[in-house]
Order: sequence, then C-alpha cells, then structure tokens
Amino acid sequence: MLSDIHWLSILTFLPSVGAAGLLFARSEEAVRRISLGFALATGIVAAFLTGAFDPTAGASMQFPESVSWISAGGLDVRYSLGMDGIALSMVALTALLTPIVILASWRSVTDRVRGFHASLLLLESAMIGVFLARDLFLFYVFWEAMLVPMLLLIGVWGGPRRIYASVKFFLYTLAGSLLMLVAILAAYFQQAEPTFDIGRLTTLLPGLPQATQGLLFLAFAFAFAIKVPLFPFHTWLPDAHVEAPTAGSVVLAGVLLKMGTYGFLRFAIPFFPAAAVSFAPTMIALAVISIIFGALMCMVQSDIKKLIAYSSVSHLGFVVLGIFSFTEAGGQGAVLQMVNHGLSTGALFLLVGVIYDRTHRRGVDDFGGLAKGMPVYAAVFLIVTLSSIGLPGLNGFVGEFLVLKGTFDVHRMAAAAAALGVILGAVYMLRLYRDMFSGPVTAARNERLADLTGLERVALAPLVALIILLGFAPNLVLRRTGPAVEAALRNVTRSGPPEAFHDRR
Amino acid sequence: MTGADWGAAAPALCLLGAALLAVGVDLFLPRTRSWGLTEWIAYGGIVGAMGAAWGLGGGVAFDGALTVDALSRFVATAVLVATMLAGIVSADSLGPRRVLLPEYYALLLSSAAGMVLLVMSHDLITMFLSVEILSLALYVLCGITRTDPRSNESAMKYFVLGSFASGFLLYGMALIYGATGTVFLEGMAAKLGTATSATALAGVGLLVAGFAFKVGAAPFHMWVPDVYEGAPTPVTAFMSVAVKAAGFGALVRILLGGLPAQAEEWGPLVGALAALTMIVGNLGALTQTSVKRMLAYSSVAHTGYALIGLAAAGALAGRGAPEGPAAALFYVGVYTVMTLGAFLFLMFAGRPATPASPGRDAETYDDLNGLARRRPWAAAFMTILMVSLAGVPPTAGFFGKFTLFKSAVDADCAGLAVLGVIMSVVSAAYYLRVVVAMYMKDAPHETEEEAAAEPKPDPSAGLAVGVSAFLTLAFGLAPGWILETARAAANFLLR
Repeated sequence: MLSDIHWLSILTFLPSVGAAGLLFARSEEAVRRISLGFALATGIVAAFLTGAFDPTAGASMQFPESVSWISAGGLDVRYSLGMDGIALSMVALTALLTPIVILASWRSVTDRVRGFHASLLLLESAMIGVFLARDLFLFYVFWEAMLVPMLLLIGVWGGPRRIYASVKFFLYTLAGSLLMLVAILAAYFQQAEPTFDIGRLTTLLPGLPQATQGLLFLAFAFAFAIKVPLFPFHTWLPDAHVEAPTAGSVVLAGVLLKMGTYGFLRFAIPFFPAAAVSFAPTMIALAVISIIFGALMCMVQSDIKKLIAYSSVSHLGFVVLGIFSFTEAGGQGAVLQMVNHGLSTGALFLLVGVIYDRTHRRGVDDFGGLAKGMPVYAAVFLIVTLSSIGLPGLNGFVGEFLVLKGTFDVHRMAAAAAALGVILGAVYMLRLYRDMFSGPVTAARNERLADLTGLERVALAPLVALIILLGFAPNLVLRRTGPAVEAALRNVTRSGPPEAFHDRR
Repeated sequence: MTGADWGAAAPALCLLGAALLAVGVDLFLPRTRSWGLTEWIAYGGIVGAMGAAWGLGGGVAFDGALTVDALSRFVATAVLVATMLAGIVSADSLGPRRVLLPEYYALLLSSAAGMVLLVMSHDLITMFLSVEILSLALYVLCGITRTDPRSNESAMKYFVLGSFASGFLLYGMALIYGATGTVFLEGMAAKLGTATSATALAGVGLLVAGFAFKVGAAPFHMWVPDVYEGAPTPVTAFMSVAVKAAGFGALVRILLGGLPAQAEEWGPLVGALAALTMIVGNLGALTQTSVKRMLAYSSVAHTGYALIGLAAAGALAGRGAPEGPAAALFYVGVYTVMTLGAFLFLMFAGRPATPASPGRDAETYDDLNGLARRRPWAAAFMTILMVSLAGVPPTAGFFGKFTLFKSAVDADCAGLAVLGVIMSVVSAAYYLRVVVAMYMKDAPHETEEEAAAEPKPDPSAGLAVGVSAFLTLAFGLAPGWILETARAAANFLLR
C-alpha cells in the first residue's frame, strides 16, 4: 500500500543517508555525483508528495507518522511528522534549492569537497525536519541541528571574514533558540497533562492567562525574529550572507530565513493568540521598519551580495507584515511571498555567484555594460530582478499584492508605508541592474567574460521557470496553503469570516 | 563478614586487588615484561569491578555502613567507564614520559576504589574515609610526571587545598554527629525530623562546602584550572569526570537520603552555588588561551548545571518527585563521557611520543589549527563533543541540559533555567573556538617531508575519543534507557 510507506521519514532522512554515503566515495567527482543524486532523489520524493497532497483535505496533517521516541522520566516525546500546505510549500522549496546549489557549487567548490557536500545534505535533512515536525521537542532538535552544518558552510568555505560571520550567526541564533527552549518547557508544564504534541498544544495553550501568554510569546518571538531577521535583530544577516559561499547564501536566504516566519505562523500565533493580538502593533511596526530600513540600506550598498542581503530584510518584513495583519489575504500572501523570496533571492545569489566565480569581485562599481558580453546572463538577471520588485506577471507581484491588500484592510498606515518599500525596492534593484548591465563596458577585464555555462543554465532554469509559472498561476501554491493558513490564523482572525482568496478560483 | 558484606565490597576489592597485583608483579618480573602486564591487570580489575557492581545482589552491608543500590550502581558505572578510558590511553603516553606504570595503575585503581566506596557509603565515617582514599591517590597521580614542574605544582596545590576541604568535610560531619548522635544517614534523618538546630545546619553548610570543593563548584573552584592544567592529561581526564561523578553521588545521597527534611535550608544554598558556579565557570573559560584550561573552567561550569538538578530537588522535596536528582545524575553521566573525550582528544591531537622525544599534548587553540585536514575523524569527533558540551541537539549534552532545565522549570526555579540558558550561549562562544581552529584556520606551514616524518598519533587515544563521541551521540538520540536508570537511581531516596 502506498499509504503504508513512511514518505515523510524518507523525505527527511534521504539527504542524511546521502551524507553517510559520501564516506564511501573515492574521488571528488564521485562525491559530487552521489550528493547530487541524493538531493535529486529527495526532490523527486518532494515532487511526488506535492502531487499526492490533497488540497481539498482542509488543514489536516497529511502523510502522518507517529511513534514514541523518548518515553522516560515522565517525559513523552514522540517522533511525529505531518505535512500541511504551508509545510509542503516550504519542503518543496528546500528540496528544489538543494540540488540547484549542488550544481552551482560543482566547479566553484574544490576544497574539502566531501565535507562541503556532507554539510549541505545534513542541513537539508534538518531543514525538512523543521517543517515536518509535529512534536515540539522534535522540532527543536531539528531547529538546532541546522546550526552546525550552516556554521561550517559559512566558516570553512566562506570569504575573508568568514570566521567572524559564522560565529556571529551561530551565537545569535543559539541565543534566540535557547530562550525558546525555556518557553517550550514552560508551555509544557502549563497543562494538566504535559505534552509536546503540536496539534494538542494548539488547542490547549490559547487557554492560558494573558500574562503567561505574553511572556511565552515574547520568548518564541525572540527566537523567530532573530531568524527572520526582523529589525533590530538583523545584524548577523549581512555578515553571514556576504561571507557565505554561494550555496550557503542561497540556502540561507532561500530556506533558513523562512523558518522565522514559519515559526510565527505555526507556533507563536496559534499557541498564544491573545498575546499575539496585543503584540501585533509592535510586530507590524517592526515589520514596516524592516521593510523601509532594509530598502534604504540597499540604496547605499556597494557590495552586491550585501545589497541582496538587505533586500531580504526588506522582503521578509513584508512576510511578517502579512502574517500579523491576521487577515487571510495577508497570511496567504505571506506564505506565497516566502516561496517567492526563496525563488528570486535564491536566483539572485546564484547569479552573483556566477559573476564572482569569473571575476572574484562583487562590488557594484566593478561591473558595467555586462549585457554586451553576457546576454543570456543579463536576461536571466533581468527576469529575476523584475520578479524581486514585484512586476505583474511574475511571481513577486501576487504575494506583495495580497500582503498589501490584507494589511490595508486593517492598518492603512502600515500598508501605505509598506507600499513605499515596494517603490524603494524598484529603485535599488533597477539601479543595480542599470549599473551592472547597461551602457558601455566600463572595465577592460570585463570584456571577455564567458556567458552562462551549460551547468549554470541547468541550475537557473527551474528557478526562472517557476518565477514565470507562479506569476501566472499563483493558485498552484495558494490552493494548497489556503486551509493551513486559515487554520493557523483561526485563533486570532478578527474581522469576521475574511474574504477567502482561495475560494475565488 | 557475611555474604552480603563481601558482595557489597566486591567492586572495591576487585580494584584494590588489581592495584596490589600490579605493584606485586613489578617486584618479581623484569620491567620489560611487567609493564605490559600491569596494564592488562588494571583492565581486568576494572571489568571485574563492573561485573561485581552489576552482578552481585544489592542491599545493606557492614551493619549499614555500605549500601548497594541503583544509585551506587549508576555512579560506579560512570566511574569505572572513566577509569577504563583513562587507563587505556595512559600506557602509551605516560610510559615514554618516565612514569612508573605499575605504580600509576595502582594509584588509579585505588582512587577508583575510593570513589566506588564513596557512593556506596551510608554513614559519615565511611564517607570520609572513601573521600580520603580517592583524594590521596589523586594527589600523587597529579604529580606523577616527576620531572615536570607544572605537574609538581599541580600536585602540591591540590594536596594543600584538598586537605583544607577535607577539614571542612570532617568538621561538618562532626557537627552533624554532635546534633544527632549518629553517623548513619537513616538515623540522622529520623533524629532530625523536620527540626532545624543551628549546630546541624552549620554542619550541613560545612559538608556542602567540602563536597563543593571536591566537585569544583564556585567559590571553591580556585584550584581547578591550575591542577587540571598541570596534571598529566589522562589524569586530568580521569579526575575531571570521576571525582565529580562520585562527589555528586555522595551529595545526592547525603542531602536527599540523610537530610530530606532540611531541603528548605540546603535547597537555596545549592541553588546559589549552582548560579555562581555557572557564571564563574563560563566567564572564566571565555578568556583562556589554553584549551586544557578552558576545559577545566568548562568542567566548573558543568558542575553548575548539574547542581541545578539538586537545587530543583531541594525545592521539590515536599512533592517527592525524583526529576531533579535524576536530571543531575543523568547529566553527570553524560558529562563524564563528553569531558573525558574532550581531554583525551588533546592527547590525540598533540605530538605523540617517539623514542627520541616524550611527545607533547595539544594545549592552546593554535595547536589545533587546521587539524581537520590532518586528522579529519578526530576533528569530527571533537566537534560532536564540543557541540554536546555547548548543549546543541541532537547530542547527549542537549538532552542533559533539557532535563535539568525541565526539572528547574517544574520546581518553579525558572530563574536558574534562564541563567543556565544564557550561560550556554556564552559557553558556545568558547567551544566554537575549538571548531573554528580545527576547521577554519590553517595549520602552520610544513613541508611534505616534515608531514611524512610526523609520527602516527596514539591509536588508543583515538579509540577513546571515538567511543566518547559515539556514546555522546547515542545518549542524545536514545536517552530513554540511561534516563530511566538515572531515575531509578534517584527514586530509591524518595521512597
């Protein structure tokens, strides 16, 4: 029977098996092939599950698995996995990006190849586990298990200031998540029958008194705000992004940042709705500040990678804004924007990696007139740029529109300020494109740069295809995430039954 | 002596018998043959003691002076594992440094025998004698590399300060005896009831201070960095974990077994010790340049974490839940494995002994630079150990801290849990430095000839590090069994 297969366990641990398999590879080329093979296999499983996922089944967890893991000392920790629409979209994004970054690192990572690919695959396992865990303890284990592989990816294969950046990343994230651990424990003991089961916690915890909720919400929110990162907890991000190798940047921007917003949507808000409502103005204010601040920082960057890093702060601000609007349009837009940001920012980091591999430079001033020598590269860069600034017809537009619409219904000023961020986004991205690609070639060394190689085209093609596809058919995501978003916000939705976007299809 | 007496004493007798045999063999056989043999005699004694601890029945022996129960078995196992792993690496590294191996092993086993007796002892006199047996052997072990001035200093310092602590301990015991008229723990509990006499309280305070010294809790930790740094690394590894395990076993037994009704008095005291120890240990470790000293301070810090469990037990004593002491014992077990592995790694990462030179253990962070290229497996194992010490899942260190913080939150000592969490972040900063050095920094340049001429590292140390790393991961992924054992060990006290 198809339903007897532990699909989610396979999905979660296939990359780990691959990482173990790397021990038996004889040559660097074999390491790359095995790594790509397992990442692709994971991608195929994810694609299969995307197809098998039943969007009409409401917010229930599909493909559930649950066995007792640690049952001792009055502790009941279960290994339980499950997948709803939000988890599905995030897992699919993870399983898509990992083989892509393996391809992108094929030629550019030549030092300690085995360790690099092992870290990448272990990281993929942990990331998928975070999205699928249905037990709070299990979630925490996966959440923290991401730290070490990411630390190594940045610290070993990164740029000149890699040690500073990787340690800063590690300590920031650890500080947030350990505080969350205490909150998890406190939440555990708040009930008559202590449990870590996320489903049961979602029904039990909202009954807590407001003051307790407030403290616990703050502890969870602190962890997630660092991960997002929300202003003023963002300072680790530019360092980590700039120093990380291309693969690290793509995974960091594409998946890791989403864990923060995912955490808000999955835990902080459904667990502590009363606190979430009372803190919503603060969160919205921080989101708007992130949007504007991130965009303004982008205007003054001379390092392309740093610019994209700050643009992530701005874009993730939109996601937080949408979530804390507590409207269905906002929530749906936020989840879609999580996917979109993964695609477009992932692609942008890949593209910066392409030019960096050729020139070992990434200053905006180092380039000019690249469109002449590298037309395909310029075209792809343009599509991704337009996606990032939310041009209608590409994926970014729908998400941003939904977020703004959802916010406008409840906080007009916040929506207006966020819309300013959209304009600023267009300014800095188009200015970047102009400076890099149009006009005459400014430096002699850039005249003979090779255009995208076959490998690079293969790596970028799925991202570009999805950017266009989701621009026209956002319902591919929305109809799957709709019930889950509605369920996540059910405890806090205020304005009656919101106008359901997914019902209009 | 009855059969029960023999059964209870058997683990210690095995160790002491092997110790005597090791020295005796050295008298009658030429050194070339006896040295190899003593190593195996020691292993035999340890395995025999382990078998005796688990195989022979439990119960009270020697008219209540010794008890064999789940607690003594749990701690004895930790002590014996530590002795075994320390013993395995000692012969190859200390032999070339002109250490007399038969005497070394005899002392190691005597010290272990003292520890095993300590966790079994059920009256104050036996307890004190056991502390002295284990300490006297350790004083000598610290100074066993006689030509190394730092080793001499270590032994001297440990001896002077340790004697001072023994004085505290003895004075505390005398006061308790004065207040209760008995040295037996059960008699004490019955006699004291819930009464609080000033004499008894002063005795408890001194007793706790004495044990705090032995396990290296602040503000009685001053000796730890100097003694740990100067002692030969296998000895450091052994004493950093085994003394702590035995000391915690004794503390659990005396506080929960002998003074359960006084929990309101000693609970806050232990809580304050825990907080101070975490802060002092972690901040101290942060500024070290020597990894060995860092690990010494880290062992102080971990004493602080484990004390959280005892403080929680104190706060919970009325409710009679075993979670606090169980968490503390679990953590001590986990700590044994992690820290032992980390110290032994320093031997493996150093320059091994050759006929020409006595070798040198890795000491500073810079000594570890670029190690991941030269010894990838060792670096990976050490990374697991460091991550576990920092308390990051899926390792045993995480689960240990999790149970400790859980017991604290459950006992309404959330403040201790939050402090522990903050200190864990601080600790990550210095544990990461090891990982950073191994993976992200380059080794000093050496030509291929030099690299080829470098002697192979001692495989026994590598094996011990590997075993530690494996256990650290295993206890993290499947902690159920060991946690149940720790609970059983703590449970009997609260019958």
